[in-house]
Amino acid sequence: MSGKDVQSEQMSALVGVKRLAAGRKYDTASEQALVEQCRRQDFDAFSKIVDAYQARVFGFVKRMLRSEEEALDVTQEVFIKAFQAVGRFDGRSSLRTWLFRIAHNLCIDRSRRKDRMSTAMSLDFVAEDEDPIEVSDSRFNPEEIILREEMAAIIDRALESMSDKLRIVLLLHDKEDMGYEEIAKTVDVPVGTVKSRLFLARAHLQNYVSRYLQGEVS
Amino acid sequence: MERELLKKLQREEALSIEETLRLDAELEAESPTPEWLSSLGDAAPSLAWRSELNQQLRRHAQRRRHARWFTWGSSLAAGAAACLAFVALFANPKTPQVPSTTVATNERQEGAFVRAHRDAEVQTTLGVSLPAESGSSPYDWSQLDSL
Repeated sequence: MSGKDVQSEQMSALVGVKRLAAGRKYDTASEQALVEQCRRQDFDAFSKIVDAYQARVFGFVKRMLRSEEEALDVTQEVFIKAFQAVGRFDGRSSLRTWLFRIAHNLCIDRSRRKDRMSTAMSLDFVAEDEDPIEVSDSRFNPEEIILREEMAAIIDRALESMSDKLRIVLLLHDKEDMGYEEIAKTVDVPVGTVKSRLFLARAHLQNYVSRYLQGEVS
Repeated sequence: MERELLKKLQREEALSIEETLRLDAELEAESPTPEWLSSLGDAAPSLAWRSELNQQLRRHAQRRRHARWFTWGSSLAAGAAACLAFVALFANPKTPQVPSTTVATNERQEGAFVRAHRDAEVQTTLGVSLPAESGSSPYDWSQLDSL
C-alpha cells in the first residue's frame, strides 16, 4: 500500500460516519410542485424551499467568501432573488442548479467588490461552527471527535488556499454531488473546463492535507 | 500525471482525445476528497437570520401584490371609461328630424302651387279663367319663398 493510500485510509477512518444533511430533501416531483406553488406567490411553499436549502447554500457561500457575516448577507440575497425570480424559473435546470447558480453569481459579485486576502480560519472559530455529533456511539471517543474536528479545519483551510474557480467546482461536485453538466450550467463554463478544474482542485486539497500530516504546514 | 498535461490543465487549454480520456480516468479513480468534503457539516443559519429573511420575503410579496393590484385596477378603470365613452357616443345616434308641422305646411303649399300651375296652364290654353275651387283659397304667391 502506498503512502498516499495509508493517509487516505487514516483520514477516512477519522472522518467516520457522514453527518445527516441539514434540511429535508425533496424528490424532483415534489420540488416541481413546490415551485409551481411558489409561482402563485405561496409564501409557505417558498419557506419549505428555504428550509431544504438554507444550510447547504450558506455552507457553500461561507466557504466561498470566508466571512460568516458576509455569507449570512449573501445567503439572504440568494433567497430573496430566488423569490423575486421564481416566476421566470422555467424548470429546464433543477432547482438546486438554479439556486447554486444564483449563489455563485452573488459570490463572484461580492468578491469583485473587494480585495480578498487569504485569512487562516482559527481552529476555535471552526470548532464553534461545527455542530456537535448527535449520534452517540461507543466507537467515537473524545479523541476521535477532536481529531475529526481538526481534520475539518484542515480541509477548510485547504479550501481557502485554493482559487475561487477551483473551489467552486470542488464543492459543487464532491460536496453537493452535482454532475459535470450541471456544474457547467451553474458556473457557465464548458464541461471540459469543469473536469480540468476538478482534477486540479482535488490535487491541491490532497497535497495540502498530505503536507499537513507530514508537518510541513501548520 | 505528466507535467505537460498538468500544464495544459492549469492553462485550461484544449486537450486531445487521448488526454481527455486520461483525465476522465484520473477523475473516475477512487479519491478521498468526496468523503472529506461530504463530512463537512453545514450549519444552518440562526433563527434570527431566518426571521429576518421571512420579513424581507413578506415585504417583497406585499410590494408585488400592490403593484399587481395597481396594474389591474388601472387597466379595469381605463376599460370601464372606454366602454362608457363608447356607449355615450354611439348608443343614441342624433339624426336631424324635421318637425311634422313644417312638413305638413310644406306639403299644403306644394299642393296649392301645383294646382295653381295647372289652372294657369288651362287658362292659358283655353283663354278662360277658371272659377276658384270651393273651400280653397287662391294661392298666395308670396308664400313661395317659404317652401
